[in-house]
Amino acid sequence: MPELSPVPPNLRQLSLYVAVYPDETEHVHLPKVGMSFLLAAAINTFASSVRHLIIELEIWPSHSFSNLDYFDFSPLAVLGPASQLIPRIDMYFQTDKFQPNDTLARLLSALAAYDDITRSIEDGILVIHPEKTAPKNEEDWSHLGPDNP
Amino acid sequence: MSHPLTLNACSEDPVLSQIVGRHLYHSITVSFRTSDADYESPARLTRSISENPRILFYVRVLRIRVIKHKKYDNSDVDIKQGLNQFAKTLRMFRALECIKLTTSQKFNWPDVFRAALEDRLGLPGLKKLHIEGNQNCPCSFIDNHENIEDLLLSPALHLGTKRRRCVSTLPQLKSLTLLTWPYNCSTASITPHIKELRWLKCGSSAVGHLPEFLKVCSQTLNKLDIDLRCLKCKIQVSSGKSTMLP
Repeated sequence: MPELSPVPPNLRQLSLYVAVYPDETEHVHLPKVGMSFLLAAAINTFASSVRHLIIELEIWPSHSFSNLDYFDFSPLAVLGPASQLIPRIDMYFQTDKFQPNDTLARLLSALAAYDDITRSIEDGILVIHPEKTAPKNEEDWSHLGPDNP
Repeated sequence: MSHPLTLNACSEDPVLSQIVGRHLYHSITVSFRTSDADYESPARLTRSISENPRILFYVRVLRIRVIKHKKYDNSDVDIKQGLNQFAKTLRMFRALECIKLTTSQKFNWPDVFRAALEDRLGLPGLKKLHIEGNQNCPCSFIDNHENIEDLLLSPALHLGTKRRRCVSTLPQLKSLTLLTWPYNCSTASITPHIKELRWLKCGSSAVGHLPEFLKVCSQTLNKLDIDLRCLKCKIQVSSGKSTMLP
């Protein structure tokens, strides 16, 4: 996204909504085709400015897969370097199929391959919200303070 | 307490009715449709107002919804007549903070109703205008109304680009939501309104116009929502860089 300039210098919050598509063999891609590139480009473009990154992942269509083990989480690797710059990252992932603890366990297992992501989770920078969608109203973030986070 | 059934039950009580009225009527929808269903009908609302004029001070969010059942249904004469008749009632609302205009099929707002609508859009307390659906939206809905801070535009909208000569002020939005890029719309019709923008929500096809918006509002923008679902723009990658083509 080279044309996304000038980058807003006071960007308090960046929210990215991303669709996840299963293919015919039930392998789940995050996201499909060039969108993983766009996800990374958006995060990389604004990482130096944004103070709170929100990512919401949504399965489309939700009935078309049955196993989180098929899920390819590798595009989320971009969150590792980004967490060095962004003070707070909230990631929401809703499948509508599994218990929150199962979804969280699968996510943590997949992301364990990335040391910087593991560190950011331990440090409380990256917070995963399994089986939840991101709050849509400004007041829903009030628990993070007036100038969240 | 805020459950509609509870509020309705309380509204039957003469003492409680005044307390719950402001909650019960905070957000209302008035529907104009080709069938004569009474639910949410303008006649029903007008009747309620005549029985209890306080309603006019309770309503903060007013959604005006036009429902045409068939795509090529030209029998919207009744709907337009109904809207024009409702214009008189519309002008009586005193405390509106948000107006939502929703249409299901292509629609042009009739003149009498439009004049009343533009009058209410100038209420000092009115901050939000949501325009949803396939409708012609003249610039006069926005221009000269400095009070409007939050604008939502959604699919298949025909946003007028010809400004009236009498425009003296262009409202500077604090929040802009573009669920999809309005049909037949250039960024030039929007950028004059976003010099002080704080929150931009870009959905699907509007994402491609982000670069042009950022040139105008990057200094004031502090919240940005990008919806990468249903993205239909082409992606061109060269020399390690990408450009999104709307």
